[in-house]
Amino acid sequence: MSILVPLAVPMASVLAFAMTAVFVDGWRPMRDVSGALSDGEKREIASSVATLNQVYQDFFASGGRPDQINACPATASVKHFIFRDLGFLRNNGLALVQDLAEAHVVDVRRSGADVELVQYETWNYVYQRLSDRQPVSQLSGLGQGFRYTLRRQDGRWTVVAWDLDEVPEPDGIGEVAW
Amino acid sequence: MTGRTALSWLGALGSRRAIGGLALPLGLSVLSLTAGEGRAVPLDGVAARIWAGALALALTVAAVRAVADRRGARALACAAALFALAQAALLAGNRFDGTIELGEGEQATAWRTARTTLWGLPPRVELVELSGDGEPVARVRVDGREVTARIGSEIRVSDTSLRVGEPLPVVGAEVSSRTGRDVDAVLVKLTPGVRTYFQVGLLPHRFYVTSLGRPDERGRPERLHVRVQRGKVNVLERDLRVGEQLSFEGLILSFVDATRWARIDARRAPRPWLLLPAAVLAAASAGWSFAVQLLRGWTANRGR
Repeated sequence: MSILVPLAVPMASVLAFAMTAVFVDGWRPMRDVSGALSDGEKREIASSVATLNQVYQDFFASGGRPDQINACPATASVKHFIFRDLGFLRNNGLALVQDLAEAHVVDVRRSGADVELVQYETWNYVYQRLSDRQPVSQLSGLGQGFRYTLRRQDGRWTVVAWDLDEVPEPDGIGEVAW
Repeated sequence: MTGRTALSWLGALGSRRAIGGLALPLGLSVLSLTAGEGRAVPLDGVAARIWAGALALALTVAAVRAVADRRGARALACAAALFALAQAALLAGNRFDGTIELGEGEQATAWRTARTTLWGLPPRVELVELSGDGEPVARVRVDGREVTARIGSEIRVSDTSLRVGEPLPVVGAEVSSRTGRDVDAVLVKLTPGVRTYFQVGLLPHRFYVTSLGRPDERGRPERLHVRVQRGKVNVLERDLRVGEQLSFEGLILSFVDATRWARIDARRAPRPWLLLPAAVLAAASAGWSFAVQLLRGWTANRGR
């Protein structure tokens, strides 16, 4: 007991300091900094991206109707970027019907405070005249890797940016058995 | 609380136990830096500031008591510790570490990366000129003072360290409508072999550009690989040279000669001037203590 008495002040000081650092400075010494995401989190993130692409298709198919704008899991700047595209087409008297044929998730990982999802997507698309929705182009297809950056906002994973990513075409995509 | 109680508490604050108790968490915080970023206690955080302030008060009380008790060595040691603590506070609170990409004649506004502490401010940096002939040097203005820096070597200007990277090409990208109406123009900083993208005005397009081949002596890229992307759709993709035009979706994209740019890494940290008086006072304290011990020993021997 006599040994503890001289140690009481420094131990109490260290404990009080640590508590202040945790509750005031937000210090988290035990937090996972390895970047690992749980399977449940990965599924949630992939689901957010799938919802974004579904709403994206609906925006273009409708020629820019904002009915589903609140359902779109993206920040205001991303939505603005999408509507600039819609506005450009409208100003040129066009609508673009896009259909996501396949999406293969390649990777889901932490990137600092955000998370990134990389997937290979195949899309079919055709341009239509806005006035009568008659096709003015051939039906075309594309295959491309995309990298989505997401952040947790208001209880859901929200897309804050997306960009191209060089992803090799996955095996078996669009295969037909003869 | 009576005055005597307050004085008693103040006196306890200046005790060795109190000083040790306040210094221990700060010392452990410094050691926590070795655990890596993300686990270290923030040294410019509220906890560190409170404990450092309390430690400074405790050392001041101890120094005053030592002077009143005519204990010179202890007073000098407390003063030395105060200078060291002040230096540590300056180092923790007044640091800046950042990277910026500047073209010739451009002043730093938006840092590409910046890490700053409590009152750390970025330096005012302007890339005046990149020399392309003979010796690779850059003229840089730092906080109003112009210096010449060798490319790739670190220079020091007051409390700021700078390293200017290799000059890289900049091209001007102009977009106009087919009717000749200008949409907008931007400067695009290129790194050979690395794809970057830019946007122009309110257009929804992203213009991905990769500089291919070796830039010439003026920094002009050999050729550019350009991809025009709108949303998910690859509108157009091909190679072209500076001066050539690209037509797409009722618009024309052209690249024109511009200048060069360089990446500049800057670090600012206060010089450890206060460690000098701390060291002098610590040495004086040790000397005083040694002298007192000698005098006591001599006096005791004389008494026999």
